[in-house]
Amino acid sequence: MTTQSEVLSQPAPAQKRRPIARWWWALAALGLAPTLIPTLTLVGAVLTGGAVASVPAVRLAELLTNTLLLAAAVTGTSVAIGLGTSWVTTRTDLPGARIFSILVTLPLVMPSYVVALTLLGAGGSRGVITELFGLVSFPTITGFWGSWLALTVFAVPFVHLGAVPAISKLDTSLDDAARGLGSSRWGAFRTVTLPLLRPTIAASSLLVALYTISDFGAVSLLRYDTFTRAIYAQFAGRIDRRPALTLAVILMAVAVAVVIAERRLRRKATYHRNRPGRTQMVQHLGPMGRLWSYTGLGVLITVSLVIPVTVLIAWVSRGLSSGQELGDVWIDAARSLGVSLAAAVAAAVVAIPIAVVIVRDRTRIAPVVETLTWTSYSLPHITVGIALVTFALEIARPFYQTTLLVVVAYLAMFLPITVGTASDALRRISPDTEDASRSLGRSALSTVFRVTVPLMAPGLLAGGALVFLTAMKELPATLLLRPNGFETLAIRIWATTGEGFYTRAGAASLVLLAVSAIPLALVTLRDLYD
Amino acid sequence: MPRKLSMLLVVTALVLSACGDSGSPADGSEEPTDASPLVVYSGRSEDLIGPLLDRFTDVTGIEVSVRYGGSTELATTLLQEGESTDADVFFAQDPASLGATAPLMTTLDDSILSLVPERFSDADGKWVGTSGRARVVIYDTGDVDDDELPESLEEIVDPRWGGRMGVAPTNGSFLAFVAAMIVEQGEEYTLDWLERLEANQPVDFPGNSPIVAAIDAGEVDLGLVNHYYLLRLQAEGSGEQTANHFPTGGDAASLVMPAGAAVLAGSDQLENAKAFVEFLLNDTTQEYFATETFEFPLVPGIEAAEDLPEIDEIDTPNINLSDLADQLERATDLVTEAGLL
Amino acid sequence: MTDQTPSGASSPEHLAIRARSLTKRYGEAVALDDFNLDVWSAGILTLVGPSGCGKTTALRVIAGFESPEHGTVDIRGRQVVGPDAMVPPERRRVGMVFQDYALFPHMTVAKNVAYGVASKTDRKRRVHDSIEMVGLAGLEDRLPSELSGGQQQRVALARALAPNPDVILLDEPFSNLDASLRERVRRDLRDIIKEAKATAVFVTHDQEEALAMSDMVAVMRNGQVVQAATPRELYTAPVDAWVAGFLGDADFIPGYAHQGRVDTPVGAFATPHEGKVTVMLRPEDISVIPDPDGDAVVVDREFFGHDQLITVTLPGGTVLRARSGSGTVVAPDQRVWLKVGHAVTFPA
Repeated sequence: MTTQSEVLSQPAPAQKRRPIARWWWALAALGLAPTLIPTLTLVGAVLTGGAVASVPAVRLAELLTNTLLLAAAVTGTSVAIGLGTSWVTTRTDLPGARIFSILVTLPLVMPSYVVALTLLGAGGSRGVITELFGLVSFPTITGFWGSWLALTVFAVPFVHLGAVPAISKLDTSLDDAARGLGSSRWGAFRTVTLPLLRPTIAASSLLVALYTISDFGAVSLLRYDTFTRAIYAQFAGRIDRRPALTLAVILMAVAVAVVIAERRLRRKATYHRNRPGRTQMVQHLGPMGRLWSYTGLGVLITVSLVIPVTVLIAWVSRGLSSGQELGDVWIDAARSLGVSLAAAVAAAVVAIPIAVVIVRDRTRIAPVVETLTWTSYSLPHITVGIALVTFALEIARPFYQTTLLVVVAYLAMFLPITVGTASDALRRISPDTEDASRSLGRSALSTVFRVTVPLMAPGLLAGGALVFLTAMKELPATLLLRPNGFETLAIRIWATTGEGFYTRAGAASLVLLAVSAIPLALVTLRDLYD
Repeated sequence: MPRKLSMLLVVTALVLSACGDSGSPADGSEEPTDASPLVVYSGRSEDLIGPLLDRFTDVTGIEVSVRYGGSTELATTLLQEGESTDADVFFAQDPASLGATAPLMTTLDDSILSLVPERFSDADGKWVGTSGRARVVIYDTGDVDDDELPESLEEIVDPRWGGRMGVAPTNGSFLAFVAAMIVEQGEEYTLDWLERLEANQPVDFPGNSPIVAAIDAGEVDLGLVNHYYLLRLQAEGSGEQTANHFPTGGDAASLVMPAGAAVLAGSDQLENAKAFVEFLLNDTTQEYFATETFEFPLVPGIEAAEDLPEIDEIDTPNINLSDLADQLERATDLVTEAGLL
Repeated sequence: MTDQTPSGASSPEHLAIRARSLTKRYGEAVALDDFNLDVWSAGILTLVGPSGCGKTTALRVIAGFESPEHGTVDIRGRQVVGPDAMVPPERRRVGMVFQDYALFPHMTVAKNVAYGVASKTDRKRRVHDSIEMVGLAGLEDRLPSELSGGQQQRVALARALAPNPDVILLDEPFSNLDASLRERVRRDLRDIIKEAKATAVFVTHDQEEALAMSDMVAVMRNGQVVQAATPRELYTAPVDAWVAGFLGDADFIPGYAHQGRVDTPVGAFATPHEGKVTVMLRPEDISVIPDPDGDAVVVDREFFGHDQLITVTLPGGTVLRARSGSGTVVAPDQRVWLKVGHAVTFPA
């Protein structure tokens, strides 16, 4: 019966799974609906309106190659760095680990286009770095490397936040066992720890790779030609939206291919359960270890946080001293906070049944459900916005230009974030735990609330925090879907940088950073580390 | 763990109450309930237009609810919304967006149209120009000598600018400039010109501001933009070594294009909408355009900002702006075909 | 199997569990194939068998975590699985101790134990008594992660016992414990269950554990119960050679039975069979008597202290093992006589 090969010599829980209750499926389908609306609307629009090819195939192939290259590079680097930072801040006795963990995570709150702008503003012969430090000419990094840098700055916190709960729950006795069997420290990490982290790594890799594919702000500012640029160009240059939507459907197909390829590579996710007698040792760092850790974290935080914030502050002070005004960013901040929090809670709640179906169900439909959650995430946000505008105008007119539709858009685009963290958390919970609750007289529903959800809570909270932060800076879809007069921080940043008012852009970005940092710090401190 | 749960519940409660607050702002819940506000779709940003709208409300007592966005995007939105739109006024950056939505618009009164020289408004009176924006060559005064500055389309694609020129091929004003070239010189010439531009390996930017910032940072030597970006940068205290050059060749490189406004035919408050358009053309507002957004006022008698030439001195090509909208799609086709997109 | 009970009585009221004709498949693989089992009240029954024989599946079907394609299960005379019944796990009054204990990591010991106690009035007392019974008084406020493996297992047992279930099921409860701890924990667990007068069904793959701990043992193979009996009966009278070999060391020699007798190189034995038979001899039933005239020759000797295992060859080449006290002194190549106390014959 237990003949499957497993990384650990534990009985394969897959064998123990029983079919999950129908109502899980019903709830999951309900939760999936917002994600499917843009996807189906888009495919429907292209099918009924006709696909319109506007860009030569050779050019598309070139753009696609560029996009995939960037996605691979950003994913690889951010996973490597993110694993390192999460390890150092959870598994060693490095003084100030928690503070560093927050600092590593903070850049997440900056929109990628702001990071790109500050990179541009930092370099150059008259850039902020030159001005502050008197260097003759600090180079401006653009193109592939600039985009790689800006998006990695965004992606590292993503990987870090995802890996911290996983790494802090790892059983170090396994690591010790491997070392006792003669593996080097690196060997033990590679052969034991890394495979155990595979589901976590897989989840963050997909998030990062597909985000990179969908990003427009950073790559366009840093002048790297990707597929999204072609889509935006067709939107900007035409009243007819079909050419752009056709390209969007192509990009969606590519994203689905990436999801499927990733699943093939990942094969079966390893389960690490609450083994009895689990031990968690903290690794002692010697002086050299500390030096290296501080140096690495220092460089990372300088690039991802210190430089951007310095540039923003420089812009604000430069502008203020020449008489510019800040405007009422606080009202915008309150609006951003409202819709983003709503989206975060919705995404966390909706992720519960979807994660249960993905992790616990044995049928062949479960992987399809997982793939479907990704479709809207991988789309450039403007296409999600347009699809929802079309949907609302033609089918749900009362919801057109309401905040509800904005929240639906966030839910559609960012759902895989919470589904990822929630299923990761669920994989760590042995189905036996739920069975135990059942045999102790609790109904399936009561078990959900008393056992499943509390145990998934850290994952849901981490995922919700990520959705919150991502939603805080969302621009293109918000722009299209919001009610008249509903300005958010991201919209303010966009509106001001587009017209060249860097002062107000700087101020709004700083407020965005501050407002987002508070919940982020709370989550990082209170829940990821206890 | 119960602590975490209760925290989650508190957060949920907070959010739900927040949602309750913002659940119905579509109908402008902040406004007094006795009259629905005038809905303006603005392709011009809040930083430029916000103060104007406040003043409009102060002066007229008419409440305004604005939707900001890209001009093309809002034009498409208007077309998609059709009859059911809530919009009363469309205030756009470029004649192409205004032209595309012209079928939805009411014809403006002569009293409004006559305030502005005929060449800056729609021939059929569907929209009126409100301020002017000129195409310029912006350059780094340290890297480009005054006497080698390009004066015409031909000189812009001179091989000497290879790798030194910043362009924003996805930007609306660049596309409008290409559309103007098509109207004036035909598709064949335009495609050839675009291919020569591409052969010069220009540096692609996503918009005008990044070009100006890149020149200010010393990254590229010159760029094709609208005139006012530099003035705004200088108002913020930067851009000392950067200057605008107004080409004198009289072709599309010297184009002056208006931003403009139109009134939706289906508006339920036509009078207020027209009052808004008139407001954009009164002396105070025209002065605001001159001094705050650094555009050219279009109402005769209002002075442009210092350092700018008189609008009549700019040798803009004589084309019918209403034709631009028809050529926008072709412009995008040709820019794509030339390999710039 | 026609008779699985120690005595002849089989009135259903005295049965804690009665499973009939259970069949369960996972795709191609058959986990249960016409599985039948009776468990008597207030006793410990162990399901034992090689891995993959379906014993865990049987437990999960009884607990309600799996539903069989066919067959019935009655618990205390109430049908919980059958053509018209599929009682969910929470209404079966069955306590379960899982292999990994499945403690709720977010609850303290006390909360874990209190989880299944429905009655609010005597919850405190029941929790207190259960924790006391498993000897964990004083650790009520600890989290599972702060306990040792043995302590976690006791919590799991206390949690399963606290609601006073009709029967408790234990799935390989010792497999996560160190070998040194196992024996003691096993004895303690047995005492606790006996003290609580609970009915328990264990699952294990360790036959020694099964024999040592149980009132009844059911041996499973390929999804079926092959034999269910008391440990002694099972050991001394296995139904076939496979069961005999699975439960302990045994040597088999062929023979021919005629008129109730079978002659072998080590003597003649009574047998109910006729014709070709297999004779099973357990090493502990064979005594070794050193004698220069003996017909057997010692080939190997393993000395364990409390006893020793002596391997001998007989004239026909048959090899047998004998377990004898450490007092017997033999050396390889020495000649010996063998004296056989007990033998079992199966038809060949």
